[in-house]
Amino acid sequence: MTAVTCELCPRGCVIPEGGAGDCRIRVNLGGRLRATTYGRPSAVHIDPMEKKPLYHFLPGTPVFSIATAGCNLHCLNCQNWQLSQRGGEEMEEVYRLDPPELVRVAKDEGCRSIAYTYSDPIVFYEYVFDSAERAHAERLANCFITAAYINERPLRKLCRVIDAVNADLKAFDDGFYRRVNGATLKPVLDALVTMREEGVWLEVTNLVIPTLNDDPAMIRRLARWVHDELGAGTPLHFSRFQPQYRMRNLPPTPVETLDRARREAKDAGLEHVYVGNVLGHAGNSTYCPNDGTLLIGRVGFMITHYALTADGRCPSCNEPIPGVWRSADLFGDEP
Amino acid sequence: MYQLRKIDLRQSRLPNIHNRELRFLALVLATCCLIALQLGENLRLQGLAGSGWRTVDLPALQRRIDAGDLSDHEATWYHPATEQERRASGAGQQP
Amino acid sequence: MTTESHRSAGPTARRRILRLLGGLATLGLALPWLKRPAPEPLPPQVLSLREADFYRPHDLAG
Repeated sequence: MTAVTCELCPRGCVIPEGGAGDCRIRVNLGGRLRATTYGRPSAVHIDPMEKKPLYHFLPGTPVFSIATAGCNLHCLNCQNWQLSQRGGEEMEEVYRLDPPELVRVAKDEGCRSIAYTYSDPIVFYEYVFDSAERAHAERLANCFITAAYINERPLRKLCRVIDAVNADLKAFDDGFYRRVNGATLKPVLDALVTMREEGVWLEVTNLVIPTLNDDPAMIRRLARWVHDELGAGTPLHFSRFQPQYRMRNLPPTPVETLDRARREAKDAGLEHVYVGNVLGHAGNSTYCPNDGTLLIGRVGFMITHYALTADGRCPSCNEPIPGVWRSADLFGDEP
Repeated sequence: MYQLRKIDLRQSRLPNIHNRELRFLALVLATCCLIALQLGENLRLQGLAGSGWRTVDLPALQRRIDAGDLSDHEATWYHPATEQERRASGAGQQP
Repeated sequence: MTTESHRSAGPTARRRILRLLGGLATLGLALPWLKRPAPEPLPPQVLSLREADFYRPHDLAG
């Protein structure tokens, strides 16, 4: 009976025959590790790009979004727990959507990108990689929405086929990661730096939870780290917590807390700081860091105003705004 | 005068327990032992599964794979576990 | 108080307690047979892409 050691994420699960990794979907069958949800997503939707949230990547375009069961984190406040905290054999619904068909359907539906999201696409790595390669061949971009708890070697290989990432940085505190998410902090920070080095477009999200990670000093440290290690132009999203799953005892994040977090991040030198899950907040929109011109107005996931020039600059002061604004920026102009 | 009844401890006897009562006691103890064994086994399984891997409903999984609803696509990024890794994780013990 | 009432209270109470415990033990042993077996989980619904409405509202985050 051959046990196997998974090398995908820092958990390094040693899995006996007939067992699954901590993520529930990588199973040892006959001494070989199987990705049991390959080509078998349980969630398939078309969402606006702003929902990922990706604000500086192909804004206003529909993105074909998929996920399978399973996850290598176990966040107490997971909104998608019915997908992430279950194995493939526990799911009530599944699509048969192998990589070639996934790319074909995404293109037929008019999407310019595919997002691997909802649970954590790290755990369905092989499905992502094979689909992403084919997507590029069809001039579709690939977006990876993740908690970034992944080892360096698989991440570097994956970055060759991924164009944009929204990564959670849940707190700047290892104890929080252990207690609330069942993970550790350092591998996440290392992964974010790797993504920057590999040149993928990166946006970072921090879900602000009252009493747990809303301390202004921690937020300041987090923002300074993002500024110093990832760059001042890296968009940072502060998202409002809503009671979920095994964390129903805490109230939603007060808007004042999010406002304060946004101020701390701007004071740390970050140029694009957003507030998420608060409809109609000024922090939903993009402003020129140089002269404050409203560049992209948003209400929820809808774009209400768009003023960027064709080459991604402020129309009034010509300041280049970091981002990937057109597919042509990735693939060149259409032949 | 109120007379106290003197009790001679040298002559006291053990409580008069019948055979059928002993059988009932034995039955109760046997049940408690069975429950303790079951609880202990559950705790052992949970302790194993908490050390980096999980048990899975293998017959259900295999049925789904055979029907094509799930996949047996071989994963990348793994290697056969070394003896040291097996010992450290307790993965040598089967559920 | 008479000594007679002292002598008869002890064994009767003991027998009642032992019978109660014995009954509970018997019930405990019988429970696995009394419990209904868990229902076989439904096979997953394999969804057809042709009928899927990819724009339907959903509450998944991300």
